[in-house]
Amino acid sequence: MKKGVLLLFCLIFAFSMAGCSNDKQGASGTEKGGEVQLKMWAHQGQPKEVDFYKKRIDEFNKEHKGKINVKLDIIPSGAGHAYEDKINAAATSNGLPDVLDMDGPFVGNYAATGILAPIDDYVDKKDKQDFAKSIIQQGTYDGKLYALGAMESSIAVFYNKKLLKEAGIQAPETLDKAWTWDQFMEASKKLTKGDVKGLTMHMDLGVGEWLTYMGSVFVWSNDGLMLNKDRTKAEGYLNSPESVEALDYVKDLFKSKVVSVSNGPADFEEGKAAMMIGGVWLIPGFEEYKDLDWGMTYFPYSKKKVSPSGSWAFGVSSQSQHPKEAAEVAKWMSNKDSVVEISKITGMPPARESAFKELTEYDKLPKKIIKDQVLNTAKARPATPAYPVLSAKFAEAFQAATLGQDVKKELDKAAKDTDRELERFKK
Amino acid sequence: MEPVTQKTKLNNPLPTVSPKQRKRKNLFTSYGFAAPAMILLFVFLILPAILALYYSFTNYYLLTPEKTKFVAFENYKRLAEDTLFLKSLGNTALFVVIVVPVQTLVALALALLVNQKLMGIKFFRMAFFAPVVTSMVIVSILWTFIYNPDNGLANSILNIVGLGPFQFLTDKDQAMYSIIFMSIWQGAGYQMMIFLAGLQDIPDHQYEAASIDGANAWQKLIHITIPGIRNILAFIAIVTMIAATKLFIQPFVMTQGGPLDSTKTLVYMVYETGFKFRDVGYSSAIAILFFVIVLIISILQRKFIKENTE
Amino acid sequence: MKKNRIIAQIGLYVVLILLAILFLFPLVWMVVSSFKTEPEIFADLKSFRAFVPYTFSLDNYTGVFERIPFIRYLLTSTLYVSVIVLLGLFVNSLAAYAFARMQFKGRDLLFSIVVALIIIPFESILLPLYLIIDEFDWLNTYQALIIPFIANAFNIFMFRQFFLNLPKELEESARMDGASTIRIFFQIVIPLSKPVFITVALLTFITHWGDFMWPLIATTDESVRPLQVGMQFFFHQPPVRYGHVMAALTMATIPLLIIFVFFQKYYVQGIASAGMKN
Repeated sequence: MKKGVLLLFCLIFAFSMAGCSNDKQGASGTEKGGEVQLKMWAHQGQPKEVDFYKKRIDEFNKEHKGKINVKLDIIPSGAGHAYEDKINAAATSNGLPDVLDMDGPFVGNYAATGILAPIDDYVDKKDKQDFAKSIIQQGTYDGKLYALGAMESSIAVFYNKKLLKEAGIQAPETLDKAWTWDQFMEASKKLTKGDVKGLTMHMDLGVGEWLTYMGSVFVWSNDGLMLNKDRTKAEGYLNSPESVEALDYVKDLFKSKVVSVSNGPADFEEGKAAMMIGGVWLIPGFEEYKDLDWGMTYFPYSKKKVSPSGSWAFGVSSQSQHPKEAAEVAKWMSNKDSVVEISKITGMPPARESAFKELTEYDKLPKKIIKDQVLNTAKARPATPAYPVLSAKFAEAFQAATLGQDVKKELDKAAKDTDRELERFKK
Repeated sequence: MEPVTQKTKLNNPLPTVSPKQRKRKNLFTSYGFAAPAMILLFVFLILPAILALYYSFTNYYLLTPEKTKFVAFENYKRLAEDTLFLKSLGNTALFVVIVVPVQTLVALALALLVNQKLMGIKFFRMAFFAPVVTSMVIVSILWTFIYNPDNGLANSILNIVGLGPFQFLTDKDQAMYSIIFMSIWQGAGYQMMIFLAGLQDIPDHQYEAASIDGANAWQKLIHITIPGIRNILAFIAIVTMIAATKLFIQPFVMTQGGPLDSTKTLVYMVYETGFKFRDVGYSSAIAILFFVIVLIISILQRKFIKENTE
Repeated sequence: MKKNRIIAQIGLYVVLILLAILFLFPLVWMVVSSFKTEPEIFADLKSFRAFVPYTFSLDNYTGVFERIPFIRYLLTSTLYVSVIVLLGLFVNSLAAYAFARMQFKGRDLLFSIVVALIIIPFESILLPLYLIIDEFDWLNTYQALIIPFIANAFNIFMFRQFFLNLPKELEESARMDGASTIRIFFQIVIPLSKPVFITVALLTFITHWGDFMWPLIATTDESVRPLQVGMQFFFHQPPVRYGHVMAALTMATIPLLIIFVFFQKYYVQGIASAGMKN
């Protein structure tokens, strides 16, 4: 009915307007002289990263000449969720490309809504083992593998060497000596002096993915969960006593004024905060600050050592006519050569264990911290179709904690909203 | 092709078409005149309005339209229990209830101030109008900096007067008021200009006559000025009120609806539920409710104004 | 008596000046800061120097051009808003003329529907409109930004009011001479209606120049991103540099400023007259 009405108006407009046809731009997987033609979307990261995608696809096309040819479109991701919106729109109008690049935590949603096709059949078991566990976790939904990433990401505790020295604090340099929550709290308190805060947690980034990405680790480290094992229920997990206790710890950090909810964007770099819970992607930016002498240590833990993880990954769209060839592209983009190269370009940790062996800077401090975390403690955000809601609601609860609100009440609310959303995807 | 045939006809003053043909042609022209606008309005306004109503009774999920099912009043029932929705409704109401009277009064006061024959008065008119020229997105970004509790101008300035420091946008009890203040600052100049036009339409002799009768400034305001701009006052009240219910840009840019949902508004929820959570059905229900609220406001105001102007 | 008056005048000026400061300080700060370095901006926050343009560096401006395609955003906005204005003037005035001067079946019913449509807030049809535009395959195109906004119920209403008040005689005598309706409309009615055309054009331009929500949703590509959305993206694009943002904001203010400087008279007359008639 809806389509009928729309089609009618489509016809009315057809003569005056271009682009009103059923010949959707994406419609995938055509063949030209035996060569399979594929389309691929990648998000617009930093310029060097985009150049890398283009170069790697060129190389792929050369290597597979006569068999597969990939046309790559770079899609701006911008603030908010412009890239995700574009995928949404394409999915409803049959306009998806064959190969998709997507942010890790969205894999579950795309798998559940039929945007992605599983790629298990095309991935070698042995090769799969080379990936960091967290990368396989983020790419797996309902027991099937949907996406492989080339980059990992991580959050560490950065510190100002000068300020720590002045306070007589030695930051841990090996994983077995990583700070516990109590030690971390104590260090933050000691470092808070006058105008200088002990810590910044980048609350200036607003209520968004950052808070979930960083905040979920506190929950997991305290033996809490966001969802049950089957990822079908939040009630009793997201708001379990362990989860509540975790956010109460965060609440205490803010209450004791060692960290501010209204920090500036570069407080750590400018010496206004002695330590920072920050993404490893910030490291290249430190060069601008000549006075900054920085170090890095592990994410503090409560009962379990856990660290954040997740980054952009490649998958195959369910609309592709040539899933096998498309999977080849996804695999190419996450093979060892790609992983090593993108890691060198972006400064992000590699997604494969074998790649770490080639990147020797990860054997020494400070980057050793990242390697230890990625290979030992990294945990992916839950692959669930309800992720957009879960992430937003958890971020809100986390913010509420930083503002001194009743954590239990906020998490109850988040669990309820998440469960309602999960209901939608039950068969 | 039309203009060409017209030209030939002009050369021949006596129409060769019969009256009946002419009538049909007229009918054709009149529909032709109205048709483009009517078709566009139908496709891009009426049709989406009907679809919004229809979707509000379904569980339409943006990514899986084929699974859409009719759910009757489920979405509306959910509205009644949704604390976030009720909070957004309350936030929107708070904004409207403060902004409409305060901004209207501020604008009127400004208009009275600049409606005097003083040297340099044009400069002051421009000064009060300047924020209007800066669009809302730009103003919102600028004030986010100004309101920064540690690195912002607002606290520095208030400090001179011995006030503060305030947390502004990072405090749940201050965020909405911070947005309200900025919105009035941005919008008052616009209404001031309209008031000013109305004030200048009031003939001078009315004031002169009142002066002869010994009326003071206050009496002149109540008995001449206010009645003279009554229609404008009503117009401004309606326009401001409807615009205020649509509050979105300021919280979107400045607070993302936070902290603790204290600046989440109805329109913000329509956007967030629909695009971020992809829940077209529920989002449509909120949109329809929002429409009903705007409708009720307009009807009430129209009735009120009719009674007062007749 | 006279002395009192002078005191009152001085008092009045004090009030006016204080108010002017209140209304202007953010904008002055914006412009002045756009010429300063980052440390200067922060150092000046606590003093009056925040408003003093003691340095004049264009680094922030070059910084903006390096980081975002500012000119492209500006052209996109100018282009799409101008097309809405031009097509809108044409389409809406034609319809209004039909409602004002022609006799046809269903005219009054149709017009009352148009008036009723004024009340529908755009925000309430956002999602279905998005889906319709998607169905046309227009997401990320200029069509998405332009076509839904050409026809405008309120503008039709404004035009009709104006046309009703035009003297009929000129049109009738032209008709006697055998001029067609179209010709009458273009050669007689439009020249007589210049004020309303300018007013509607201005109102439409200013409204759509400030468009934010729709372009945010309907366009995700940089190639069709208007200025307002571009500014919002830039504001959130790390690293957040006050100086860069201030420079971008200052530049983004200029187009509307120009419009107001040239057309202020018509603008005020326009909204005021619309206000009276409602």
